Amino acid sequence: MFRQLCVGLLLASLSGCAAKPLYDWGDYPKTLLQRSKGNLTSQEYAERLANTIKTLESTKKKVPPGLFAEYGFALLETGNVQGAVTQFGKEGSAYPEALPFMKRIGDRLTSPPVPPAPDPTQPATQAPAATPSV
Amino acid sequence: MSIFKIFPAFLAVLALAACTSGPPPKDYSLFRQNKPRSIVVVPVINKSSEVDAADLFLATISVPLANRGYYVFPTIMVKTLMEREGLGDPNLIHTTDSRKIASLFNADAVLYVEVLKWKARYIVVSSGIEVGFLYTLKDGKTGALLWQDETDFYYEKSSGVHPISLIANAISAAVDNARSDYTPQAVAVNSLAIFLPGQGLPSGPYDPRYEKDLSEFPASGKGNFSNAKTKAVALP
Repeated sequence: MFRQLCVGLLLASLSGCAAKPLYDWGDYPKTLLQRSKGNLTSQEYAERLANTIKTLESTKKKVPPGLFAEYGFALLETGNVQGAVTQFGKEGSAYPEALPFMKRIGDRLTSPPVPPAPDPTQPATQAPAATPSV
Repeated sequence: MSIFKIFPAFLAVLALAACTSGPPPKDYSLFRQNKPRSIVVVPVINKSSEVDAADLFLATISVPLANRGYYVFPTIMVKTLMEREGLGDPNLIHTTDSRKIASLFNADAVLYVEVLKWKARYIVVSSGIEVGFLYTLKDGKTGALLWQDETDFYYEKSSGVHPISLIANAISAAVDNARSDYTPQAVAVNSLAIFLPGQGLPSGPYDPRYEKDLSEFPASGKGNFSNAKTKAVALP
C-alpha cells in the first residue's frame, strides 16, 4: 500500500521531474532486451553495441558499466578475438572494479591454449569458433 | 518511447520526502561496513510459470543498479560464461557459497534474484499484470547478507484507474506487443526496489551522493536487513 502511494506521488511529480540517471545508455536497454529474446545474432548485437558506444564517445559521455565488455564478448562470439581483447581492456581501464576479471579473460584468450585440467572455480573462455549463440 | 524513460520519473518520486514516512528503514550497518563497489548478478531463479521470465528479467536489472552508482558486471557475458562452465543452474548457483561465486569475477557482492510472479491476471471487471521479485545481496568476502528486498506490483491493464498502469500501458504498447513481455513492469519494480529511501540500496561509489545518504540508509544496528516474506533459496 505504502509503495503504491509513493508511485502515485511520483506521477503527481512527473511534470517536474528533475533527477537524471547517472548514465546515458543510448539504445542499450532496448538492444539488451532484444538480445535476451534471441532476436539479435551475435553479429547484430555487436554492431548495435558498437554504435551505442560510438555515439556516447562522440558526445564525450562516459560509457556505462558493462558495455565495452558486452561488446567484446559479442565480438568473441563472431570469432574476433583481437577485437574482444581490446574491448575487455577498455572495460578494465574505464572501471577498475572489472580489471582483474577482464585481465584474466584477456590473458586466457591471448596465451596459447593449454588443455587444462577442468577447474570449475574459474570461468574460462572457450575458443570462439564453435560457441553457440547466447 | 524507450522503456527506460520511465526511470527518471521513478527517481523523482522516490526522492519525495513523503516516501520516507513509510515502514522503518532497514539496517544498513553491514552494507556500510563492507562498502561494496561492484555487483555480479547471477542467473535468476524463475518461480513463475512464464518460461522466459528469468532471461527477460535479467535484461532489466543492470541499468538501474549501475545508475545507482555500482559497477555491474556485464550480465549476458556473465550468464553465458557461467552456463559454459556448468554453472548455469540457478538453483545450484543460489546455494553455492557466495564467496566462491564472487571470486570468479572479483566482485564485491553477489545479487541473487528470484522471479516470484510474472503473470497476467483476469478478474471480474478488469485484467492486469502482476510481477514480483525477491532480491538478495550477499557480501563477496564474508558471504553475509547485506540487503534483501521483496517487491511486487499489480498493474491494471486497461481501466486507467491505477496510476502506474497509465505509464506501464503506454510503454508496453510502444516497446513490444509480445505476450508476457512484462519488462516495462519489471523495470518499474526494479527502480522502486533499488531507489526507495530506507528500503533500497544506498548510492554506490559512482554516484555523487556516495556515503552522503546515511540518514536515508542508516547503519542502525537493528538487524532488519530485509522486508521479505518469502524465504530466498540463497538464504536458507
